[in-house]
Amino acid sequence: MIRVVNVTHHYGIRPVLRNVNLEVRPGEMLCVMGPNGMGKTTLLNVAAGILWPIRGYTEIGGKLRRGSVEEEIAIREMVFYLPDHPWLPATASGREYLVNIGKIYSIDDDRLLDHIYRLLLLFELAALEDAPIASYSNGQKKKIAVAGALVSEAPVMIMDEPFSGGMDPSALFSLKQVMQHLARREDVTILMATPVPELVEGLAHRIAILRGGEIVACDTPDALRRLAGCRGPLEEVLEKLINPETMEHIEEYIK
Amino acid sequence: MKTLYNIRSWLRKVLPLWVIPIPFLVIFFIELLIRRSPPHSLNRCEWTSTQFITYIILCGVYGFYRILHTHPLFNEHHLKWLESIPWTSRRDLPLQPVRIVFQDILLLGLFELAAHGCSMSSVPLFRELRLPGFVFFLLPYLVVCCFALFLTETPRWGFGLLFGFGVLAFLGNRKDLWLPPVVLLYIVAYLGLRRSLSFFPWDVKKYRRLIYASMSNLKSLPERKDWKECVWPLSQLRPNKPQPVSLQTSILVSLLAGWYFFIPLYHYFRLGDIACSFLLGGIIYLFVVITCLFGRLVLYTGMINTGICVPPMNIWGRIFNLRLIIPGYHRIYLPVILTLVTSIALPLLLRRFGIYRPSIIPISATIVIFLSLWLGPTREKWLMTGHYRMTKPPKAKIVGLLEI
Repeated sequence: MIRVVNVTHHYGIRPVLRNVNLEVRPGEMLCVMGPNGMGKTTLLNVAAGILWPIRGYTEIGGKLRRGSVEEEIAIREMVFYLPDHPWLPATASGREYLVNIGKIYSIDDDRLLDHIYRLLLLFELAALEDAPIASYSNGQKKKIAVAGALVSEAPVMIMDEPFSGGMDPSALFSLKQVMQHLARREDVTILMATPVPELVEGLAHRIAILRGGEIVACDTPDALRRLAGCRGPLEEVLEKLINPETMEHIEEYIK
Repeated sequence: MKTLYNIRSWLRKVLPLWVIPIPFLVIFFIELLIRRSPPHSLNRCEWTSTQFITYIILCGVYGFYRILHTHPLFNEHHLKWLESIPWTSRRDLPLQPVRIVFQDILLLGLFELAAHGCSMSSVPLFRELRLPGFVFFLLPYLVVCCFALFLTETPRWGFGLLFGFGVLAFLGNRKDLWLPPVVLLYIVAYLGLRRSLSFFPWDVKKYRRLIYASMSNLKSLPERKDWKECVWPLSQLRPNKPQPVSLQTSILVSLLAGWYFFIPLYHYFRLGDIACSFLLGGIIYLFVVITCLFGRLVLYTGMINTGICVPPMNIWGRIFNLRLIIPGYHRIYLPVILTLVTSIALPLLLRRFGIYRPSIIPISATIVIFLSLWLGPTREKWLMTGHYRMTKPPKAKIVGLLEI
């Protein structure tokens, strides 16, 4: 569904991505993980069409990203990108924002209003549905941004750290349940970046580990455990793969 | 009695009955004031001018009223009602005719006759202009009609009218020749109106800014116009259909601009004021070139909605990686360079070939505008296929956006 082929990118002198190849299959949830500053957001930006890489290309649904006007429109109609820090309209209400997104993605009016109602209940925003977004707390703003992604009903979702941004435990739990539901569906493909392994456990079908701008591993959590030679929690497995020296640092510090 | 009733309803098609006597009364009242003033007095001259201006204004107001009141585009209730009935353009509009009918000619004719009997017929412009009442009735009618044609899917006819207004400006001081082009313009407008009505119902939502669409048993939904309400990055990544400037529109716009530039230059040149003609031409040309080049650059590389398209790699990266030029990004500069070269070379070439001097600047401006509009990639194609990087717009908080 999503193919990132031989992507290399520099913003300046230092390469951020080096010859990255990644494939997200239809109906799959793939999570990109890695230390800060290793190119997760850049990789998602390339897939989302925010950025044209210096080398390589992206295909979504067999169509080349920015290949032609028709292909790009077809891709845009099926992709929703939720960045780490989206900008929201200060004066619009949460409900208006969600309605606008639904209209952009040509969702049927009846279904859209029903979906918005359920989302506002899910994220405990029903009391604020007609209040301007400017009056929301940071966590509430993140909730409405995530709700925007869900209301689009896009078959391809690219989400950059959807669990960050100050959401309360209840919202995190709700979002995780919703993501699990989406992961079970075969008609939704999700490419997601998050630095928190606990949230990915039992959620992602596969995990891609990005280090130094390169994909060092991309497989199911169980396969990654085998690769790391570790049967512990995913957090420990990833630490071994991403930062092998971290465990030594911890042991040295505690000693 | 029945005949009187029939006449009343016949006249009511173009004007409310109580309005019809008002212009006559106003003109006659001023005439009374003129006649009571002593002959050759300053006061009498002022009243005569006032009477003529009033006459022209009344005819113009009638022209505005006729089109604004009868064209469905300018009356939302009328538009909605027409959409709800099985009306087609094969028949006349059911309420009032938007075209000029015999009632209009009768009323204007009576008004013209009344004007001829009044003192204002001594005003030079009144004598110079043939049927001034008709001309000043048709001019506002045609201007509004032109606007309506552009909004109702018949821009070609709108362009036709705009070219025609240029003819009136070209005739300038020869106001005795205004009547035939005005009548010709009305014929163009009439044909355009027929054509635009054949496209009814029109897609005018984008112009009418209907914010809420009413839905049965549901709360109202904002219209799709509020793209910017979804802001970064959705405003930039929205799946919109491109609406490129067509070749036909590019040609018409550039020709129209050239035509309008030619008119003042021709008049100055004809009057022998060559220095003024060249100064004006130079200013116009500079303005056109700067606007076209700068406008194109801003459109392609600057603010696009609320985002900015920048090269995928910064300047240092491009220098150190020996990729100073990124073909997929820098191709947008090619049309700009070509337009710039043309804008410099073309006037020199035309002058060398001995082209009629007042037409050098208009021809050059026409070609520069055409190139800047038509040379690809179009803005829409660039937005969809350009090898750029979208960045967040600066000073977002000023335009009411929140970053989370």
